[in-house]
Amino acid sequence: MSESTRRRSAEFLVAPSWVLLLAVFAAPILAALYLSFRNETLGAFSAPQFVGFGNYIAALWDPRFWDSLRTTLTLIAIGLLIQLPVGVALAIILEKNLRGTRLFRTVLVVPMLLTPVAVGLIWRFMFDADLGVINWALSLVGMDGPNWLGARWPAIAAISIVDSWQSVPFIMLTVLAALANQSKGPLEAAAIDGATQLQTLFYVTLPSISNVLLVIITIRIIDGMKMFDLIFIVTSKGGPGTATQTLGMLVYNTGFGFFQTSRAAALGIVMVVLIAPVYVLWRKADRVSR
Amino acid sequence: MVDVSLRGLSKSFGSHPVVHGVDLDIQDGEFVVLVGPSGCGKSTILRMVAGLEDITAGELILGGIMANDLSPKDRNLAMVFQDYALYPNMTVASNIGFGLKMNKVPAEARERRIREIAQLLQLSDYLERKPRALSGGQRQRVAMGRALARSAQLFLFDEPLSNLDAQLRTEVRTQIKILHQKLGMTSIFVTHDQTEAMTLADKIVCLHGGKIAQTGTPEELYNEPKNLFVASFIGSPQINIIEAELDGDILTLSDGQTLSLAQKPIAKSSKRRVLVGIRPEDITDESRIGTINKSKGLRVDYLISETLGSDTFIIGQLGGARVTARCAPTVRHMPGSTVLLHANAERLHLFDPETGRRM
Amino acid sequence: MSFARRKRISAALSYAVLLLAAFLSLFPVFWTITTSIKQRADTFVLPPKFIWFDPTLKNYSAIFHTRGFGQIYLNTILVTLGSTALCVMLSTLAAYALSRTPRFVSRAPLEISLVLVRAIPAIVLMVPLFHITSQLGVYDSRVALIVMYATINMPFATWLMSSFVGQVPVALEQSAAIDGAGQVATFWYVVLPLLLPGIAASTIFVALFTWNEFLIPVMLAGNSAKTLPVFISGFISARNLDWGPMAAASSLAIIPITIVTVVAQRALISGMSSGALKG
Ligand SMILES: Nc1ncnc2c1ncn2[C@@H]1O[C@H](COP(=O)(O)OP(=O)(O)OP(=O)(O)O)[C@@H](O)[C@H]1O
Ligand SMILES: [Mg+2]
Repeated sequence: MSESTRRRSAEFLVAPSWVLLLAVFAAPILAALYLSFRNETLGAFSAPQFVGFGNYIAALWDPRFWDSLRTTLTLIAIGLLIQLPVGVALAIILEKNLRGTRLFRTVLVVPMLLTPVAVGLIWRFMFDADLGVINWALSLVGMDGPNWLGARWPAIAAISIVDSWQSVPFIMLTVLAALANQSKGPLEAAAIDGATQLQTLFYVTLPSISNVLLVIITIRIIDGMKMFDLIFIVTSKGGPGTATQTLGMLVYNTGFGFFQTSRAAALGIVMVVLIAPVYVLWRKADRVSR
Repeated sequence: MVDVSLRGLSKSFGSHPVVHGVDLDIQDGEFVVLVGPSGCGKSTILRMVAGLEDITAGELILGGIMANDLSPKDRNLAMVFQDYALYPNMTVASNIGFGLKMNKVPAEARERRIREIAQLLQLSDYLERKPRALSGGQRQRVAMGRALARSAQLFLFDEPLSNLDAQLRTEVRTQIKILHQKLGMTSIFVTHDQTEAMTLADKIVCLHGGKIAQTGTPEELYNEPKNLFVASFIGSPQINIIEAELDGDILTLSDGQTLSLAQKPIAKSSKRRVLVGIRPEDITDESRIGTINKSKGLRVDYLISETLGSDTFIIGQLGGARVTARCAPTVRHMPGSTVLLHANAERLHLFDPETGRRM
Repeated sequence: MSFARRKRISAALSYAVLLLAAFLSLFPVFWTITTSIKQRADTFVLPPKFIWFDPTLKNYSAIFHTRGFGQIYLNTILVTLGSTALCVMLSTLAAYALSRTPRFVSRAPLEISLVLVRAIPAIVLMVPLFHITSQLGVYDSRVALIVMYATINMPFATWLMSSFVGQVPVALEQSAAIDGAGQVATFWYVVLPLLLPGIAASTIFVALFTWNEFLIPVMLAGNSAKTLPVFISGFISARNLDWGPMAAASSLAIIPITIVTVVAQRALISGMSSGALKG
């Protein structure tokens, strides 16, 4: 088969994907750009017009933007601090191939696949200040559980817990796959050189999967920027008040709560720009990890 | 069956040239072996013939038709891959019959042909198995069967024996030779194993760095290598190469020993440096050499010997080079001793040390 | 401490951690399902009733009698089936092109687009898509949801399928070409059968993601294309008192998933990272 035929059939094979990507992805992004330079609001009386960077300036001037950016980054940071060590630790334990590992692995994967909305609701129920099972359990050990969803920091803690519950399995599986691929030679050499298990972990195992860890971190940041379902449910769209309003939630509230179409579009574009460095990091990390 | 011509066939990967203008004519029914060291472009040439690689320059002519731009399926050829490339999801029977199915052979005729081929290759008992349930040798036979099932006009083999163990390899080699005798299919066979090339070929094409070093019958390549590369590539153990000075018909080695040529060289009589090639069987002990072309005795510093039973190879030092001599199995020597050996003056090969060409 | 002893202690510790993790993983599922079959009174008592309660199906019957619930469950199933089929089909073709053809014109743009689709929060697309779907008259339609879900899941499915296509030896296709098979026949008879495990894994993943999807339908589906997650989310406005029906609705979403997870755990576990890591 000649090279040019092969290229032609490749174009043909990806054409249907392009149709979808252009319709559902490229077109809306361009539309968002266009909208972001106008002043469209749903149900406005005056005809919309071109307003230049007005929406961007207004959006960036708004303290709610900076609050939600801070909330988003806080959630990402806390999430990583919890999930990465827990995920890696579980992967290392599963990698030992103790008896029953397969059963445990299946069980530990379940949270990752469950409907986030349902998960959010049930956790919300469990976090209930008076009747929730969590505060009841804390009271058993003599602790007075906080009103989880009633104030900013407890609410952030609650979201982080639910988010971690759903995300740890992904980290665990990915690290597990990386560990399975790593060559056993260095491990055995380290053992013969007399390294303790902990030394082997820090000097051999973790460095050998550092690229995979980097990829995991970037993916978690990307998913953190996207976080929506859990906030929507667990803290009722960013409550109490706007205490846990993330960027995604802010876009939603602006566009679908206050119907400020153009402002929401501008905020969306700002999010895309914020994601850009992560995207670059991701490409780099992923290339190295292969 | 068909005549095949390669006219100045060349291949570059990007800007990296790999095959440089290969010319080759293959007669109907001929068994041609492409041989050469790893990376010399054998597979690339074969794949261009198959239509799996684009031809960068030159022409490929199959049965009188310019075939450069034909797709593989329109070339009507069959190929046996190095790792066989059996379809893992199909049974042995479907593997053998796939080509027929693709060429719209009716089911009944297909069945018949599959059974015929299976019989020929002793695969009848395995027809319903999947390839993964077969041994290496059986897989190899399925791959052969798949190629043979269709009456393709040209058979291509890319190192089809290299995944087999030594014993099986010789066995399958013989089988292929018998098949070729029986069916007379025009074949191009790629290998880097010179023994395989020698035993199978009607015609050997010896490749070196993407160019043809020599084309000819196995005997021609063995007896009259055109250059140093072919001389050392063909033959096992390798030919001995010794530096010498040629004056008239007298060769003087660096340690002062001399050898006289059987014929006077045609060219200039002035003194010059040459490389002398002597095959191991052409340097031997008293009991094995005839009296006719017996050179003066050569003193070889004995190092070790390797006993094969039928022969003993004596390895020693002669004129500053390591030489291997094929001797009678009875000889015994002590390390450090000197052995008197004789070279067959009729069968000395002289090469130009600069160009490596035969003189 | 002897080596054997240390090994035993380390194993014991590992099991302790695994048991704790398993408990934490499963408790919310257990809690959802038990709450869904409790009487209202049993839901609100402290200490909580974990096992000894009087089971009831009242909550489920309440859900089933909610107006439009049948429609909602049907929507969810149809949209999941439709978009999974679409997504896996297109992704398989694209993955085949991407991993078999090193150079073609739209290759780099496609690769970048896939990464962008994965990286850019979908919320960014929602306001414009709201306008576009309204203008095209497909707002609140299952077809629109199917197409949008398929696009959102395309990066994952394409990367996952690429890793499977990469495992099919090229020599098989060349062999088929020499056997006289055209491109379509080669794909159909040789490549596709070998991709079936990969297609199964992608199908399960995409189906799960689609089943769970909330962001798109909450904004782009009204009453006629409403899906299960949107329906469930409705309970947060219900003044937090209706835990039983809420748990029943949640159970209806997560029980099928839990079953699929257990049945298809092999494919899920090996597929997760290959689909997520490419870029
Ligand atoms: N797709 C490719 N892109 C770039 N270079 C290639 C490609 N395929 C082969 N080459 C190069 O072309 C040269 C010839 O390769 P080829 O496979 O023909 O060697 P060969 O003679 O078959 O060797 P072997 O005995 O090891 O199979 C090698 O140097 C190889 O690195
Ligand atoms: Mg080769």
